[in-house]
Amino acid sequence: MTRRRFMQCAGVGLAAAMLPRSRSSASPALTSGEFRRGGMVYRPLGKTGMNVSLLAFGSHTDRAYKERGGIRNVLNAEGQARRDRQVSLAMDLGVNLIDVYEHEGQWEPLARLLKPRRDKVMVAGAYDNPEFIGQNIDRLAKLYGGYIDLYRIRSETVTFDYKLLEQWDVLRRAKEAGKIRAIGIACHLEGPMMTALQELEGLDYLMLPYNFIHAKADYGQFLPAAAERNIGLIGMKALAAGSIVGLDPRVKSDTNPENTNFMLFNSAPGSRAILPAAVAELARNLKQLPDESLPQAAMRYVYSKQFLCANMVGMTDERFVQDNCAALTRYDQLTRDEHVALESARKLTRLAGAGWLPENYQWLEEQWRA
Amino acid sequence: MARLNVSFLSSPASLPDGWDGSPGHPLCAARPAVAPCQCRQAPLLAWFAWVFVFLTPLSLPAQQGGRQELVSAGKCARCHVSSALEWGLSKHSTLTRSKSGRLPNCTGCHGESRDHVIDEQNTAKPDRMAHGEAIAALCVECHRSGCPHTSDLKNCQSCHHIHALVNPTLDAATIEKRASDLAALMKAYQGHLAEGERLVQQAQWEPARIAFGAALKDYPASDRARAALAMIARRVKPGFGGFKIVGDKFDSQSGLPEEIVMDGSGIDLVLVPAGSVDLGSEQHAGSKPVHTVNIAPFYLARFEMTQAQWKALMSANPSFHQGAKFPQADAMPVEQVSWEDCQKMLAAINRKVPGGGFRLPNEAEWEYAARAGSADSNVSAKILSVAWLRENSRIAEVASVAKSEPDAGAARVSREAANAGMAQAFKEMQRVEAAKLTAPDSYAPHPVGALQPNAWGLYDMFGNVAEWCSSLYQPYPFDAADGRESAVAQGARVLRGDTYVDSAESADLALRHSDRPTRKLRWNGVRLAFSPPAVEPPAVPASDSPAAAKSQ
Repeated sequence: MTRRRFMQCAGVGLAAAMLPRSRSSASPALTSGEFRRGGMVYRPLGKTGMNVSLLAFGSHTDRAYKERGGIRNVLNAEGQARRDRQVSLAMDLGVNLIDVYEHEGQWEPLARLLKPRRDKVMVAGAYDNPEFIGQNIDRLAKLYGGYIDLYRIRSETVTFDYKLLEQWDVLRRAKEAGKIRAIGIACHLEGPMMTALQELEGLDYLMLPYNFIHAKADYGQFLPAAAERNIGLIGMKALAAGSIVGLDPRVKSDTNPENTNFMLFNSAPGSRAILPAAVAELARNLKQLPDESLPQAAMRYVYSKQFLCANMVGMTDERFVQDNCAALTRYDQLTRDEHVALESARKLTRLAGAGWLPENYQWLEEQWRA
Repeated sequence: MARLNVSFLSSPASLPDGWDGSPGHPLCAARPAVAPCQCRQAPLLAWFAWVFVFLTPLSLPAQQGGRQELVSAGKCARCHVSSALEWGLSKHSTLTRSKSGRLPNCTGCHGESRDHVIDEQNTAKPDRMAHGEAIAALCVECHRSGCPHTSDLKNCQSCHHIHALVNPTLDAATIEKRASDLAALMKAYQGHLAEGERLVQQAQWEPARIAFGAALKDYPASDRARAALAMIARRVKPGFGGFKIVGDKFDSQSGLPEEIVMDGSGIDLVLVPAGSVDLGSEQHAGSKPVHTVNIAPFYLARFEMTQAQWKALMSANPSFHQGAKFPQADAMPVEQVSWEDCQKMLAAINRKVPGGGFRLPNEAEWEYAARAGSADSNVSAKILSVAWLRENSRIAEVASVAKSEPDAGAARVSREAANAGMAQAFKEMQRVEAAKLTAPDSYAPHPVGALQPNAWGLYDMFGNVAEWCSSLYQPYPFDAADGRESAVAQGARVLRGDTYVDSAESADLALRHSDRPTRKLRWNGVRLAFSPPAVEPPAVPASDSPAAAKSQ
């Protein structure tokens, strides 16, 4: 290097060092109430006084390891060991909210795993059972040290019938008795969200589907109304049941999204390549993100949304846990290249129609596409 | 310094701890940690204080017959009895307004001190605590020209006691004469009271009325004599039109019959006697802080209102649990009623009773009655003998399906399925579980009065159905005068008592619950309360009395 060239480089470096750090620096700007411990970001869950990790561990288990015979979440020995490792890794990386929604076969193993760290981990449960809800809460609370941190019911109707209001009353009573710390509702449709804000006394948090494709909640009156009531919002379906994973050509075929047939770059027999031009455009744009996968960009999209306190993602591999946590260590705002890549993925899925999602998740496309 | 004749305070047993009967300031001397009182009117204060203490025993709660200054001092008098009595000796206690616009009462000088009032640990200090020269500064806020006797602006407390601002310029002879007069009056008053109480024991109402009337004439501010006269008036003329008095037991304090039954309806009401309750619990966030509330006597229905009673009044039965599946439905509590429905029902029932009086209990009354004199709100020890809860409220048809304990069974099969791949066994178990636990139809309320009553004879205060209260759901401490008892205010209304779908594990009488006044759930019912008819207040004879001396 010549002396002149050295001085030019040093001058530019010095000037850069003297400038205030921009938002695209490695340290993300934290919003009010938000804080970082290690690699994990924590946000306050509405008015509950609880701080939840931005990445929460979802309850879905790996189908490949499920016991044959139709039991929803009873895993074989290998599968259970894998899941235990995934949950342990997530906790080691700072995840403090673990969902135990799909309980058959998983409540007890998870309770065994979480008990030593019960004071550092929050357990979320949900009601999806013919069993009486009060009994469900009591059983769950007994397993997890006498209380559960979050518990939710679910509604898919705009008008709440007396059964749902009764369930809510039981939840409120359980909270008053100290069995639950925060009570909420999961809305898989947009309609019940406003109804929940208006009808459910003492609502602490609300779960809604949210990802970069299904971001309808950005619109409408819901977000201001939720903010006014200080309701904690938890995003779910951040990766659209794994289907967003399948959009990335660099993702290996063994990542086990639920709809393997529509992994656009899956080489497995039976898979089909669709819309070559849109696929090529996506591949080209993803090349601008050499250190980042499409799912990571998708996670960073939901992380960047300040109205979400946490994002509950089902993770069936330690690698997913690491990737989703790694996405948090980057800067908080999406880059232009990331926006471009996500837009081309959006375009591809729009052209592909609802078929890019598994059949039991097509409601996402119908109800939530922005 | 004038020496007073305090010979009537002859019994050492009647003196407070720490006071040896010497002519000092007893209220200061009773507190050994405080430096001996140096105020000049100490002997006078000693006398006046004990006259008043004797005239109305401190054991009487303020709201039901205690001294007026204790009533006026409100919450403060719960702990600061001495200070309230001292203040009662001063002219300050009789003022309804001051020059500065600030009343010279507890809150006027010490501030509202809300944190201090609700602080059970006594760590929060009052908003304002004047010491030394700051006391004079406080006085000058109203007495702008200084002391009327010396024009001093700095040393008020050297002559005037800090709370009992007795006029220090009276001469010793005047004080002595007043003391003698008051002692004689007090003796007469006490004699009349004792005579009245003896006659009450013998049920000689008219002579007793005359004796208490004489006591009231001696001391017109005597709430004790006034209460006794009201009690006699009730005994002579109960005034329960539309009701039948059951038995011959009457409350000795209020003179109210202990049980009444509404004519025609069979609604059985039990007298809840006057008293105080430590409301709330430190165990539950919504029930903090624990605080004392005084309750006037009232009637509460022995049973929750039944479907038959509701139907008779409203010509309709809103209950979920009725029909062929529930042959005893008429005796089961009415449920699926909203707070607003209850208001309509109350209007209907009050039309049937001369003067009305039926209402919902407020939440303090409810908890007081539910505790029935017990200090502990946690009732889990024998809960299933007094309450229908989830553990004993499974509907019979469903219960016959479920013979094994579901929790243990599910856990066992879950383990087996996980460990040994017994998927089929687990599926079968799931099917059975689903059949017997179809929620929440697996549980139902029971006919009222089937279990044991509480100590005051009230059934199902806990469990079966939750009961609407009149109160708005607002944070504790409970204060009936703060607007929470407004019948027209908007907001959630209180529901108390667990229900047949709640677990016995978390049973606690202090738990508070609420819901919108329009909401109807199948475990929300109602229990009637009734305000006893008022009696005509006894006439207060006008005469010189100890009370007249207190402003000196």
